Amino acid sequence: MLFNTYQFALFFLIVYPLYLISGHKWQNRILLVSSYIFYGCWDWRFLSLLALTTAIDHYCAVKIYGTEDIRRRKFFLGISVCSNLTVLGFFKYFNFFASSLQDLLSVFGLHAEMRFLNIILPVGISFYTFQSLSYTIDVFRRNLKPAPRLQDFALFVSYFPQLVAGPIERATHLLPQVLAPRRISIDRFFEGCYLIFWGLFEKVYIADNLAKTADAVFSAPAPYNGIQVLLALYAFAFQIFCDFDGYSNMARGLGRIMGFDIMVNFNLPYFSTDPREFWQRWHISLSTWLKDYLYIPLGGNRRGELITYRNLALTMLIGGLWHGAAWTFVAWGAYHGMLLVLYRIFQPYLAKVPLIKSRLMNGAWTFVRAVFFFHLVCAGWLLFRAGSMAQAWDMLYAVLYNLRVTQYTPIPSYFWLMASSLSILLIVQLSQRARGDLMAVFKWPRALKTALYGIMFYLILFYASPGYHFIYFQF
Amino acid sequence: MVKKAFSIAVYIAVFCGTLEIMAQLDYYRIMAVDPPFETIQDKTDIGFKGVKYGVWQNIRLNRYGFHDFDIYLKEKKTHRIRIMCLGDSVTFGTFSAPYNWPRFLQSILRANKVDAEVINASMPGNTYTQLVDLFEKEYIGFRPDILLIYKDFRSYLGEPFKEKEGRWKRLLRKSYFIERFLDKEPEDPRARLALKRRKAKIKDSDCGIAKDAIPNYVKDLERLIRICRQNGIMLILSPFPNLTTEENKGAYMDYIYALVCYYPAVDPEQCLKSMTEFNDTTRKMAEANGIPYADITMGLEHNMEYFHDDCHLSPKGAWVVARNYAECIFNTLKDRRAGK
Repeated sequence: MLFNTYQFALFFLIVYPLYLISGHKWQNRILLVSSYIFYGCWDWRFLSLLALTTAIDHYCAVKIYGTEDIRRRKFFLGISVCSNLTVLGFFKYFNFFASSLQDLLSVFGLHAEMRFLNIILPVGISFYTFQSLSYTIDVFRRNLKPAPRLQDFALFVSYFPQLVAGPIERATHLLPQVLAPRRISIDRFFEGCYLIFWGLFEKVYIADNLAKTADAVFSAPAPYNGIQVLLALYAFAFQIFCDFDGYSNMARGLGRIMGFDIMVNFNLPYFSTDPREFWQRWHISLSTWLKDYLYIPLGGNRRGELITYRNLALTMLIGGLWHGAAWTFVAWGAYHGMLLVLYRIFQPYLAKVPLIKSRLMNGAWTFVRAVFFFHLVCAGWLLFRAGSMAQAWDMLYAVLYNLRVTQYTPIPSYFWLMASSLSILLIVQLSQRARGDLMAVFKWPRALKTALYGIMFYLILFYASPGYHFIYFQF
Repeated sequence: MVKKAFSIAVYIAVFCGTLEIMAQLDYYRIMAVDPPFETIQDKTDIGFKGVKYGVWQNIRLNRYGFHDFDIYLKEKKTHRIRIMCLGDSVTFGTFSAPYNWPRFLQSILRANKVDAEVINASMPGNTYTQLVDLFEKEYIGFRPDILLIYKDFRSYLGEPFKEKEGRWKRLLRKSYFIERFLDKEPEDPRARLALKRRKAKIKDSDCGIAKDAIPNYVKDLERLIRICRQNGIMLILSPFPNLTTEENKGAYMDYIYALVCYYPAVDPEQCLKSMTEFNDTTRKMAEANGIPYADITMGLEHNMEYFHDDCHLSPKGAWVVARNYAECIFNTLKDRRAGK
């Protein structure tokens, strides 16, 4: 059940009035049941997996909290971590590691008959296992009390707006909202509606139309034309952003009209001028998760420069692998790890560049840095989107050595689609950046805002591309 | 209260006005950036013609509005054999732009040391009658030595659909947005066909192949043969391309449904049956008039390796068609030299 389908609209139209007329206790019950129905609509068989993860983590959290014996606490934390990672590893990475091992053995002339599992990846498994895992770790660190009832914790794990594609919420943020009565004001309701509408627009108009451009090039065989690859890369860069940001915005909007406050997942990432800033703005819920539960426990930047580089590289490598069981994702993670390490090495020198006093020149310098860094990010997207490392190399080669316009370079069509998609996004994001507020458009003068809604409505009505899944569902 | 109602009315007006402005801008964008072939040049008596240096479905047209680079001039060099290819999207290469059969034909001829230039003068969507008209009135100026005509037979499926509209609907259509909205169609081809038939008030039982299709086709062929004879052009005839057979028609029925949406009164079953009749007519006409007949279906297999859909050629299919044409041209030229 995708957010941009009639089935979901019907589902929500049934759930929401029931939610509104109920008291707090019943609201939570309704949300829990509807979340399980929502998840069951993908594949009911995996409901047991979700329930099992929830039950184990809740049990472990209660046990961890109930004792001061550090060995016992570590034991239950170990159970929780192992169970989550086993589920994730089994469903997501088993075939990947098995095939990689087979390939490795074949390099040494050994032929091993590996058994592959014929299983489908449970949707959203990476999201809810990480969310659930953070809960037990926070309880272990005494940052959080365990949820008083299993059903409250179950709602925290399975809350349907963010269940299948995040944001990966922290228990310290979402659980108190589950436990306390929520207030829905008319302002928050309209803010929520705006977020849902904007998210829908980002997904069905911008992302799905850009997907056509990107898919056409990435699914074509080599040899590639450099111009087409470059356009496809730009298209994919904005497609993945709008796809994921669209989902996150819809999740936030749905949460808001139900009185929840779901965390911001993207904060204008393509305005970043360096890798550190990028990861503070891109998929914030994952990057902060990796920072808090992986990078800092590894030692962070406290144990000297070399260990810091190792920690950065390792964190990004695992971040890459989290996205999918393929070497292209590993390479993507390694690439971003390398960018972070290089930035850390060269950042002291960059800091020595004298500041220009002119505001205009400063703005121009920031713009140049943002454009340069955007292209570095796009190079990463090439690894991320390519079907194989060989394809990524072929495409990179085309960009470097075959950058020319031919008769069959369909520039006009690409141009219209991309320009129309991106111009609205750019206007909105510039407004958000200028005001330093992601809800800036919502605060525009009403007539202007209404005109923008008209444009968005028109484009959704006539140019929405049906049938595309959210990219992050596969993770 | 009145003030609030007034401001709400203003916002509704702004919203509706934006929709209308968007629809109008969108209309002009379509006209300017990617015009559908109906609007390339709207001369209904001779069909559609490509605009000079235009772009149609991402394919750039040359200075004559043809699908090709500027590699030839209208004025003909006397020693070079000029071959003109007439046709619709099948010849144009709509679904596999660079790999159209006229281009392959040129390569094959040059590889065999035949000094020839091949002009792809096809235009998507044109009917057989329109192509003959266009050739007679405009393309004859290119003075081709050989004329090849290869197109789909859908132009004989009947008159394109015209909706009967009431006064209110006509009035509403003054708004670009409402017009756009009214023309919005379902994705599913069968649902689209049903809707079109319902709109046109056509009963399913009334649908059948246009009765006068074969006589019209014969009339067009006769006219083309006459024009070619009068201008000393060697015409080579060939059958209509088609992937659909009695055996595999089920698999491609969706395509047919999608296509006949343009001709909603035509029954897909009937279309398939009439194919053999059309091709028999072509062969008989060629034999009766002593015109070379290139059986370009030789070596073409009825599967998706050779076709994109029921009639549009894949690159491989286009290569086979070009090879068959080339063989026919070699034989004809040999016969000519031998004085036959």
